[in-house]
Amino acid sequence: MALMPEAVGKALTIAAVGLPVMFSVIGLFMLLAKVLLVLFPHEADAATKDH
Amino acid sequence: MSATLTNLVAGISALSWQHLVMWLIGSTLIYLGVKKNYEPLLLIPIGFGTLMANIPLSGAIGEGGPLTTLLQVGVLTELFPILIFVGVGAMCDFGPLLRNPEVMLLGASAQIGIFGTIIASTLLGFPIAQAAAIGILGTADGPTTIYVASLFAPEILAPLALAAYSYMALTPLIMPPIIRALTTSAERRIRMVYQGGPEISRSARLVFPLCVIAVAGLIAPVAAPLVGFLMLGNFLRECGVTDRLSQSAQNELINVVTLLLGLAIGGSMTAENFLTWESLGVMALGLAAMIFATAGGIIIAKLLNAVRSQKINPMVGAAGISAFPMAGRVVAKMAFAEDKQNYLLMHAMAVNISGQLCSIVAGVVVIAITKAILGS
Repeated sequence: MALMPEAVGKALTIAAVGLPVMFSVIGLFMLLAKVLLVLFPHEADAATKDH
Repeated sequence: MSATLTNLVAGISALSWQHLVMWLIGSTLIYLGVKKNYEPLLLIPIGFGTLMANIPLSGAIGEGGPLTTLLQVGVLTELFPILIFVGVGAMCDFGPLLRNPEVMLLGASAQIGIFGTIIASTLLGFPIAQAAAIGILGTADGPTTIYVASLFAPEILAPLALAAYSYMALTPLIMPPIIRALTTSAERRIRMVYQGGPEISRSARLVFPLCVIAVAGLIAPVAAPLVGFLMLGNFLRECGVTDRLSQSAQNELINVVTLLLGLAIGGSMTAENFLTWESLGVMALGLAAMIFATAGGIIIAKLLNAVRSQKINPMVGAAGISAFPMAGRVVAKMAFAEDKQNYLLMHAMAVNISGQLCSIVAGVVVIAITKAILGS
């Protein structure tokens, strides 16, 4: 580990932190999409469109 | 009289073999754009910019030169890539993502290559700021690459931009061998039923971009423009009351900015900037990034198959790279070539669109962590 160049250590940090953060954000967006489908079903829009 | 003559031949006497090599590179880019139709909207302006920048004593570059001015005003300020995102957002239909959010997982998987490329870049001796910018080549997303390069490594902007757009154009050549190497014929023949999913309400389409801005902005405030302008474009498309703006963003805005961006990048491709081992390293790592990204999508799709009852065709995972719509088309074409009854286009396109969003999320995450590491 001591022989590892500093930049490689930083790159490993970016990967170690970045991968879980990226998948968490995407997971959040997946959840958001599901919530939006429940909160705003298509029928509700069709009903309001008539007014 | 003799001074006048000296001035007239100054350009010719300053001509070097490096200029000629750059003319060759510029002409090749123009040729690839015109004859092979490889990203002509970008490669032709880059080619012309390269030619103009590599005329000895060229007035196109340097203090007050139009190409340098474009670079300073539009690229180094990150303005051009950001404006392109308005157009990209206006072109994106996030309906397939909202209908089937699981495809985002495959889109995210294809971004794994970014992190592998960042590590590989540092192993080859690139400093961390440049490595972060090189890694973004794994998104196969030109504007994101340019945005991150402008932030962290403007000195290698030209080879990065060239690699991003060249490899995007070469997607139909790069992806198939990797897909064939990582999948069996039986896997490539897996059929997927397209169920369509629920209709998406206008309200959901409108709230989604607003929520994405809030979430991504809170995680990485520095990257708020990246997500914000993309989602602005998408909102213009979906809100139904700004059709003129949406059309302008999809056509005039993106066309004009692409032209200026191409010229600015071409203008930065001077012999002394471009003919370096560093540029060669960037081009090689860009190819590696595309390979890592394609492989990442396939491998995660295969892992998902281990736990799913309804199997995914692993090729669909490869469509998660952001090269739209080429990646989706390549996968659909390969599936059809294996089995004439296998229509994967809708699945592949849904994953490909998710790759657009996921590549930006990956960019945002890399920007945030790299900024923290660099302490800036």
